Amino acid sequence: MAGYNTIRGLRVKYLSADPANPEDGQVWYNAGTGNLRVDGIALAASWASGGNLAGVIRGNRNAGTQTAALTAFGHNPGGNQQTSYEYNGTAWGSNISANTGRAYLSGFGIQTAAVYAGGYGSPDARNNTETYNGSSWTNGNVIGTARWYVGGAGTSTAGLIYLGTDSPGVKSETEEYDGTSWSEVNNNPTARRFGNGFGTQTAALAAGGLPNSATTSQEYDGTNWSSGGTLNTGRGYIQGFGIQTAGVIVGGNASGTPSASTELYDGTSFTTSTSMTNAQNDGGGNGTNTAGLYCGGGPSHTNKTEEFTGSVIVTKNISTS
Amino acid sequence: MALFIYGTATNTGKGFFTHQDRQNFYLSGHPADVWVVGNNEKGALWLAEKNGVEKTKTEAQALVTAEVTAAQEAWDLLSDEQKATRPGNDRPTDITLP
Repeated sequence: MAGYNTIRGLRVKYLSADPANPEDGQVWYNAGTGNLRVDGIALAASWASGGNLAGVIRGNRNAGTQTAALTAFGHNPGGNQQTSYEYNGTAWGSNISANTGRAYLSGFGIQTAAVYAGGYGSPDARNNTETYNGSSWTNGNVIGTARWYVGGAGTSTAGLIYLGTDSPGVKSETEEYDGTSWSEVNNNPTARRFGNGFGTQTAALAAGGLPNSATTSQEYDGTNWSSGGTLNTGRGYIQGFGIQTAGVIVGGNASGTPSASTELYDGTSFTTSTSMTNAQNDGGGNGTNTAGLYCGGGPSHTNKTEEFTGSVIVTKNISTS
Repeated sequence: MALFIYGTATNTGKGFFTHQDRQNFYLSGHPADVWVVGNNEKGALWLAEKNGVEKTKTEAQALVTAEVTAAQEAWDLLSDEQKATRPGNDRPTDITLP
């Protein structure tokens, strides 16, 4: 049998500790730990369980990062909610009440500077905006087109909302937020509801939605929308997070069936990644393509959270098991 | 050997299933706290450690179907107006376990 020396042209080094900058495929013996080691092993992306929410919810929306997140608003069997909860990477905190109960809205920003706009507050499409500063909620200026199932992206000083519905109509309007007021800008060429996306005010993506479990996406450059990549699984009720060149679309509902599908966007095309453990539609999602979060959702209502970790390259022990 | 183990277990939150678990075996969650677990040593150990109750596929499917049926019946009782106007309130669809 060929040895490492024959295959690699090198002997396996006997080192007291792992090398500082090993090359992919490099093998060495760590005398300190007594392990044969190899670098460059790709671990697939995965979802792990996170802390449970205090109660079941769907139609909630998120902002922030995996370890400093906010989920707010939503619907449960008791009706539309004005609840919000902070997540620290392990557990959800206690409720901090917002002002106007609603669900299926848009949320973006970070845990200490988040913006929530639109939504469904029985029985009407809402135009409310509320901002969160890390401790309390403040009413802001209303959006121009009241709607729910509205997508969002950006920050508390440079935000974006797009698409949506006021039932039965589907919306194509796009509005930009400057930290104070909303301005209507160019429409998305494909009006639809239940779509969502990710990115910034000047580099966003809107994907999926209904009718017809759309597979299409559009990229926004701060002025215009143009066609983007095609989802592998067409669906609505999705969530998205990340940036335009490194984004994640997750969950949703494809032709009436909840989906656990996760797809990654690189600025050009979508690739299928590891599915969530539980198929969910209409929960809240936030984070990046390396550290994301998804909580709540349907098809009924849930209090569950899943944490996404993107694919990583690691060093591992070589063993026979 | 069967591809999957079926069981029920309560998702307790953080740490209930980890990234390493997802690397080690197939895992999917379903209504009625039903879990479909890849049939290998680590999958079986995970279900045991979570105080899971192993079920046959038929038993697990029956639990899922009962919960989905209950949700469908609740949806059917809604008025036409509620069905038409309540966002995201589609009739729950049947679920078939792998």
